[in-house]
Amino acid sequence: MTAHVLLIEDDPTLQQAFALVLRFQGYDVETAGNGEEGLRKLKLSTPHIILLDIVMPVMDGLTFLQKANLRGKIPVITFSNLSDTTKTEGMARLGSVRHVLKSNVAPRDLDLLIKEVLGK
Amino acid sequence: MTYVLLIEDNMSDARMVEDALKQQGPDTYRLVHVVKISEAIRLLARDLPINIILSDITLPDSQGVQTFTKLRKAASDLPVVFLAGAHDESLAVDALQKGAQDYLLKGQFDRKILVRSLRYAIERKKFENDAKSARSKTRNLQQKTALLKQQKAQLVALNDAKDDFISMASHQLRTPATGVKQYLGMMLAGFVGQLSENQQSLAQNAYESNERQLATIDDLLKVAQLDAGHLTLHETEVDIVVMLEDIIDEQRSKLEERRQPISFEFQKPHAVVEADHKLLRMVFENLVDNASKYTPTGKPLSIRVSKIRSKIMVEVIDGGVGIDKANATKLFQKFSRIKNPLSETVNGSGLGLYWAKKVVDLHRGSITVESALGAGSNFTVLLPSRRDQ
Repeated sequence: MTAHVLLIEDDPTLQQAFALVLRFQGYDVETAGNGEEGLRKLKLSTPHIILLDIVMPVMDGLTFLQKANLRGKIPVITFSNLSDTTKTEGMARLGSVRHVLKSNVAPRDLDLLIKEVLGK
Repeated sequence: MTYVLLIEDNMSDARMVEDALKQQGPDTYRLVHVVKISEAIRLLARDLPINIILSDITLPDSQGVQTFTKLRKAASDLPVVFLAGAHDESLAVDALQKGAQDYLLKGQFDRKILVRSLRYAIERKKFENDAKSARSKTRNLQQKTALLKQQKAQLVALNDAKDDFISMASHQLRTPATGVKQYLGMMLAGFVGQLSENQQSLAQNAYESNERQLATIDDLLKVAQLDAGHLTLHETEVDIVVMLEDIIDEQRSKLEERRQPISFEFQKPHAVVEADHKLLRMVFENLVDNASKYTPTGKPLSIRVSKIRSKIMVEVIDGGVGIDKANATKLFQKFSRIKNPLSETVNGSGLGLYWAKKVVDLHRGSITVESALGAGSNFTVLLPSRRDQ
């Protein structure tokens, strides 16, 4: 079965890049440009895993985590280019199972990371 | 010896004072006598060692409060005692209210009263001067405190702005470079078909250049965070030997590629320190990586861990290009890149060792280097060992 990923990322270049990376690796990808759009997409379908950016306009990643209440339901990998660890600490409490620095993830690593989180 | 400036136009009054003070014995009082205020002012301007002024309240060229005001202006720190007759006592009282130390009524004082009045006036003026200088110091301190408070508020605001900038810069600089990384990464991973050898090589170069850019951004941000005082240590017990074995394992393929054998010496039981695991690991990663980068292919590296009294010593030793003495001290400064036979080909931001030293300092440790040009380097990190060891 193809794993279904919801990618929530505001930067168009990065959204397109990560979506491509995931599609090339065989994932079924749904995209959203901010937390609010992410919540709307969640009502329509239930992904296997969510890739969530933190700094976004309209609704940021932390607010999305608070509102979506996904703990124990859908695993969330948060990724950002923030170096501020105080913000990243709060994310684990809100249901992020892993937090990665975007600039550290090469295309092949993303596949490995998702497989690891999904336990495959 | 007390020097008295006597201003008195009545010669018999002057003689009376002179006689009285003489009776106090030699070397107790010395009198300088003038008859006009103008002469007194000229004398005072000459910076003579005068201790007190004894003056008639009514002089040929000055009277009453005016006399006192002129004397104050000429010598603000000297005590003044007035001599007054019954007819001009009220003038002396006015001068007293303006700040003169005392007055004596002519014909109604003897030697004892005169001497007591002079002593008392000197002491009282001294006390007044001290109090005045204390008040001025207090005022100064209050002004400085207010200024410091204001400066502190400005600094806090500046620091906040700097933090925001670091955070924003971190995000904005990394984002486009991350895009490049993904697109080139996809090409290199063959997602869009097999690349020719030339294409592969060019894309690989671009990818590595971008990685360097990301690493430099990381270094800059790490240093900015540290300089802003935002690095807080999350200390746990860290087994130094296990940490170093991990680092060696991680770098093994790179070391093998450069044919640099690495030896690792340590004692049992393992050395344990209280440290921020993540930060300390980055310090040693940096040292091992540097040792390898600045050592020509085929030459060995070694790491030694030993315990010296209450310290844990980690030495990272290479047989590389080395550094001369003059440059060794510059090594831990910001943006210092020392020219050597390998520095042209080795990438570095010149921030790694500066950061490493700061982190080791935060751990109450020290980092030093012993090196000679062409003979390799020995980086020594000393850390306080856990108390119960």
